[in-house]
Amino acid sequence: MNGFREALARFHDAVRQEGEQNESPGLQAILDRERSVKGLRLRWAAAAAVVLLLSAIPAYKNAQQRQSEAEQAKADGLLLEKVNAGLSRSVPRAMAPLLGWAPANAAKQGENR
Amino acid sequence: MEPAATSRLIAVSMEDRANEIADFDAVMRLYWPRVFRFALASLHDRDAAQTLAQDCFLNAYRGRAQFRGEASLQTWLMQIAVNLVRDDARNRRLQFWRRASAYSKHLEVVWNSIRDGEIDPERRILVKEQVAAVWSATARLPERQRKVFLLRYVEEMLLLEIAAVTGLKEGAVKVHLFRALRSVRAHVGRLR
Repeated sequence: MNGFREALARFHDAVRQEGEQNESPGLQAILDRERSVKGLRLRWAAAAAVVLLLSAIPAYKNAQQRQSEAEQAKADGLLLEKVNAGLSRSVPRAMAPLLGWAPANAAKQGENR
Repeated sequence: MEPAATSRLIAVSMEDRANEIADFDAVMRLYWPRVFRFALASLHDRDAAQTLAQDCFLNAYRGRAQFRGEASLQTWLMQIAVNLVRDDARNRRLQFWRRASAYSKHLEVVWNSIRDGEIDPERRILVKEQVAAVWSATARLPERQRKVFLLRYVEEMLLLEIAAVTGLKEGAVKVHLFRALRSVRAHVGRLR
């Protein structure tokens, strides 16, 4: 029991002595450290933002290119449909009303031609 | 406002700030050893204890307006320190390399703290063993038991003060202290 009390007392003295040997750095030093840490964090955040931005530019360009390609393909498709529609017409558009007056056979013949 | 009056106001406010820092420095000088040794005994790492003590006083300085004087300044500072130690312990659970480095440093702290000239060499070895045994026993305690044990046996605080600092009820403080003492005694006894 006494041995344990002595061990506790020695532990108490050792930790207290360690505390006494360590001096306060002063508030100003702590505030300066905090400021420099904040500045460092801000710099890291700015660097990360720049890296993020730089890595986002190619992706943005790629997406834009893909969108314009899709729009172009759509326009091409529409144009092709129009051309196909023009080619498959049996008579020129101006003559289309005349087809109604022709007998049914003539109209068919005209279509077959 | 006139420029002269503005510059006078700035000078007064700067002087106020300088006085404030000087006043707080006096508080720091008085309570630094207490906060530092509690952090050291809790974390077993001198660098981490230094950083924690700095954070404690920085938080106290920033929150000085919230101090209403209901508790003593020492209780208030120790409350901040206890909370910081708890947060640090939570962070350390995920950082095994910090735990390992702290464990290797703890004996060095104990060895350095005993002045060689004070006692004869044979006795010195015994004392070092005793201190090391209690030191490693506290490292194995659960966080609540450790803080109660350190506040009682290093800081010599009363049970009511420990209850105020830790936010525990006095009965709970007694229970944690009893369990901590039993564990430390068993560990120290095993090492003999």
